[in-house]
Amino acid sequence: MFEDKPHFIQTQLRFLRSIFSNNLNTCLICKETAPTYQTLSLCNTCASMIPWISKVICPICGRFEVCYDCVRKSNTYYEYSRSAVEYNETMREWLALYKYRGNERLESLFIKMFDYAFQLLLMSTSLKNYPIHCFTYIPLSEQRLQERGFNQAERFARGLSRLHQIPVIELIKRVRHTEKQSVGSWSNRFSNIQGAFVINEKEVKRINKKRVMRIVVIDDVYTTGSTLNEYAKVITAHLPAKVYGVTWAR
Amino acid sequence: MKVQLYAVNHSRDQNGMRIDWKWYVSFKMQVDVQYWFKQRNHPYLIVLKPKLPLGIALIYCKLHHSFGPLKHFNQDIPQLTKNWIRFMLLHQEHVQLSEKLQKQLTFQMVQSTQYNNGMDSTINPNLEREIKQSIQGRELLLAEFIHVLKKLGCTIEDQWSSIIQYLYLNEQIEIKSGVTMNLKKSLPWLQQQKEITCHRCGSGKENMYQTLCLFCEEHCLYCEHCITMGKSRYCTPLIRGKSLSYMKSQSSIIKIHPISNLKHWNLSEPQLAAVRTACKFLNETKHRISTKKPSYFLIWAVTGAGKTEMVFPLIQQEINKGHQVMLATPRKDVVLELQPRLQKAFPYLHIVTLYGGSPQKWEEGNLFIATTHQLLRFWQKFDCIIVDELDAFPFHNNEMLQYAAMKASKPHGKYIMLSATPPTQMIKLVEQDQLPHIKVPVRYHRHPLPIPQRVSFPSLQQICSNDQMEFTSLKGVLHKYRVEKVLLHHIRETIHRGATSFIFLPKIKYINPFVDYLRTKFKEVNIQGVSSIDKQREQKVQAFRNREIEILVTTTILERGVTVPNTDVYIIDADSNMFDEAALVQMAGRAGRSMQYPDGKVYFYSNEKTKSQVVAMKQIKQMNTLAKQKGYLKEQYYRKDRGDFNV
Ligand SMILES: [Zn+2]
Ligand SMILES: [Zn+2]
Ligand SMILES: [Zn+2]
Repeated sequence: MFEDKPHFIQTQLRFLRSIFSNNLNTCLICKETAPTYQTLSLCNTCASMIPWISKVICPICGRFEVCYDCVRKSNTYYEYSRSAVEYNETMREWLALYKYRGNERLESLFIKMFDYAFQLLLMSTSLKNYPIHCFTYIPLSEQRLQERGFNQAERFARGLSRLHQIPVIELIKRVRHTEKQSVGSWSNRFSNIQGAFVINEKEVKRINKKRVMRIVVIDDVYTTGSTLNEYAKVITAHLPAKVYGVTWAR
Repeated sequence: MKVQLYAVNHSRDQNGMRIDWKWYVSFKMQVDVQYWFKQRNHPYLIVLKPKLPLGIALIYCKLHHSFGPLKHFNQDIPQLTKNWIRFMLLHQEHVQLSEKLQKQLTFQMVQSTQYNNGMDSTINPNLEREIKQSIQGRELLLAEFIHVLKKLGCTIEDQWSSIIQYLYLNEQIEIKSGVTMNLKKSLPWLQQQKEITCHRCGSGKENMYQTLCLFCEEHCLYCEHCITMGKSRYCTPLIRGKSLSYMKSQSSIIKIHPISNLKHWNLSEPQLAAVRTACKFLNETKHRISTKKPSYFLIWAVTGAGKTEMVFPLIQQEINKGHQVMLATPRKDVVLELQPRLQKAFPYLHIVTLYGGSPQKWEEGNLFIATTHQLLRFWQKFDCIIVDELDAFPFHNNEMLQYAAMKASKPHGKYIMLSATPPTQMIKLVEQDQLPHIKVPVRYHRHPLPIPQRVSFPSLQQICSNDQMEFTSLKGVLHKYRVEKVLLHHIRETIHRGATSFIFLPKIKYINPFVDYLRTKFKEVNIQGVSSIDKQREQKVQAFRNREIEILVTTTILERGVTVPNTDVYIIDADSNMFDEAALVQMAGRAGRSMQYPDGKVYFYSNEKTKSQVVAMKQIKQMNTLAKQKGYLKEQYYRKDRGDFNV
C-alpha cells in the first residue's frame, strides 16, 4: 500500500483539538441545544415543532379534519387507524433523517411518538375492553431494503412490542415491487397497490383460528390508507381478524 | 459488507522457508486467486473462513500485518488460531460479535493447483485510466464509487467488486472502513486505549451509534456526525484514490502576470504586505515538515480589509507552481459569487465549484471552490488549501470540518486561514508567536475602524422574564428607566445623517415587539425585522441594501456578509451570552464600510460591561493602533491638531 500517514494526521489533530472545543449531549434533532425536553431527548424549540394530533375527527383514519378519502372508499377491510402527528414539512424532514439518511439513533424518538398514536387507538371505544393480540408491519421490497439497510416499519413494530409486551408477527410477504406511492392520481394509486401482498402461510398455520384476533399494522405514514386496506384484505381473507392501523404521521 | 480475509507470503529465507506473511481483504476472491496464482506465481494462500465484516478484517490486517515464518501449515494452525482468539477478545470489548462468527472460524490453505482456470480479472486499460482519474485524491464511500463507475459506463451488477479488488491489489486505491477502532496489541498492565473514530470525518465515540446491520449481519457502528454526506459504517468500504498530479492544462496556463508583479491586482499597501508574507510562507519548504508541525498561516484581516482580493495573487502563485488549490468557504452563495470573479481573473483555469448538489461533483481542475463540507470527499489531494472565514458557521467549533480540511491536503500541503475574528485559542497561539500570521489592521479605505460606544441600558432579558415579550411592557420599562430617550436620540441622529440603522438583538422573539415599538416612535420610517426563520429573508436584506428599509432589526444571523454603506450599528443586550467577542466585532464591522462614509457609529447597549465587550473593544482599538503605527492610515489621522484622536 502507498504510504499511510498516521503521524501526520495525529499531530494535526492534536493541534486542532487545542484550538477548537467540542460539545456533547445535545438535542437529537438540532444537535445544538441541550435536550431540555427529557422524555423525547429534544430541546424545547424542536419539541414545540411537533404537530401532535390531539383531536380525532375522522373515525376511520384518525385525521384531524373531515376526511373525504374515507367516505369515498367502499370496501374497507380494516377497522380504523390512528396517527401521532400531522405530516407537515418539518415532520417530513425528521422522517427523512431517519429513513433516507439512515440515522437510526432517532429510532427511540419515533417509537416514543408511536406510543402516543397507539394510546389514541386504545382510547377509542371499541378497544377499551379488548386486548391487542399482535403487531405486524408492511414489508419492504428486497431492493428498498438493500438501499436503506433496514425496514423502518419493522423497527417501529419491534419497539412498540418491547414497550407493551405484545408480539410481532410477520403476517405478510411482498410479491412485487410497487412504484413509489406518491405518483399518480388517487384511483391510480389505489389499483397500483393491489396484489402486492400475499399471506405468510408459515405464520398463519401457527395461529389459533378459533378466536377473533385483533391485529395492529404499523407503518410510518398514512397517505391514502390503500396500503393498509390491501394488507387488511389479505389478512382477513385468511384469519378471523379485526385489523387496526397505527402510523406515525397522517 | 463482508469480506474474505487471507494471507500471502512475500519472501523466503535461505532455507527456502516462507517468511513475512501479509493479510489482505477481498470483495471478490476470484480476482485475488487469479492475481496471486497467475500473475505473481504464488503456490498457496491461507484463507480465513467464513467472511468477516470489513471493519474487523481491516483491523486484523493492520495488527497482524506480517506474521512470522510458517514452518508447516498444519503445525502453525494452533498459533494462527491463538492470535485470532486474542484479537477477538480485544475486539469484543468494543463491538459484540455474534456467536456464529466466533465459533465457525477456520483457517484453510488454498493451493494454486486447485485453480487452473481462474477468471480473467484484468480490466480494460482505458476504463482503468478513466476510473483512476475520476477518483484520484478523493475519498469515496462505496455507494459513491459505484456511482462513478455507472457514470463511466460500468452498469453490470456486481462489477464493482472485481474492479475494487483489481485496483486494491495493484495499489491504486487504499481501502479503509468508514468507522474504525484503534486496537493496540494488548499489554495487560497498561490501560487500553479505546478509540473509535470515523475515518471520513474524524469524530469519535460520542458520535457513533451501534445497530444490527443488514449488510454485515453483525452489530455494526455508524457515524452520526457526517451522515448527511452518506452513511459511514464499520463495514462500509471507504475508497481512497491515489493522488496523481494534475497535469492536464498546465502547459496551457499562460503566465501573464508573474507573481513578482503584484501591481496587476490593484491592492493597497497593507494588503500587499500581507500577500508578500503569505507568499513567502507558501514558498517555504523543508523546515516545517522536519519538525512535524503542520504548516498553517493565518491572515487576520479586519472587517472590510478586502480579504477576497488578497486571495487572488496567492492562488496565482500556487497555480504557477503547478499546484492544485482548494478555496473553502462556509456558504454556498459565496462559492457561487466567487466563481465568475475568479474565472475572469484566471480565464485559462479550469475551475470546479462544489457544494451540495453541484453538477461538477466528479470533475478535475486546477482550482476548486467548495463549501467546507465538500472537503470530506478528498484525500491528500491539494497542495494548498485556503480556508475563508474559518471561525464562521459551520466551521467554528466543528472538528469535523477541521479534520476534513486536514485530510484533503497533501502531507506537505499548506493552509492559509482567513479570518477577521479568529477563535480565542488561535489568538493565544498568535500572541505566543506559535502560529505564523500577518495582521491586516486597516480597511481598504484606510480609515480607522469605528470604536463602539457603550450605553447603559436595561436588559431585555430581565424585562421579558416571561416567555412572550409584550411590546407595552417594553415601552413601559424603557420609559421607567428614562433610557428610552437615549435610544431614540441616537436613532434620530442616525436618520438625520441619512444613515440606515442595523439593530441586533440576542433572540428572535424580541424582534417583533421591538419593531412594533420603534414603529410607534418613527411613523415615517420603513422599519422591518428579519430572522433566520423568515421566508422573506433574502428580499428584506436586498431592500435594506437598496435603502428601501431604513431600520433593520435582526439577530446574529446577519452578523457577517451583509454590508451596506453608511450604516450605524446598534447592539441591544450586548452583555447577552448570545454575543461573544467575535460576534460583537463582526457586528461592529458592519459600520463605516464605504469610502464615502468611513465613520459609522457603533453602540453597545448593555446593562453590564461584560468581558466580551471589553475584549471586542480592545481588539478594535489595538488594530487601529497597529494601523497608525504602520503608517497605513490616511494622512489626516497623523496631523498634529488631531492629537486627541483616540485610536
Ligand atoms: Zn433541538
Ligand atoms: Zn463520520
Ligand atoms: Zn455492518
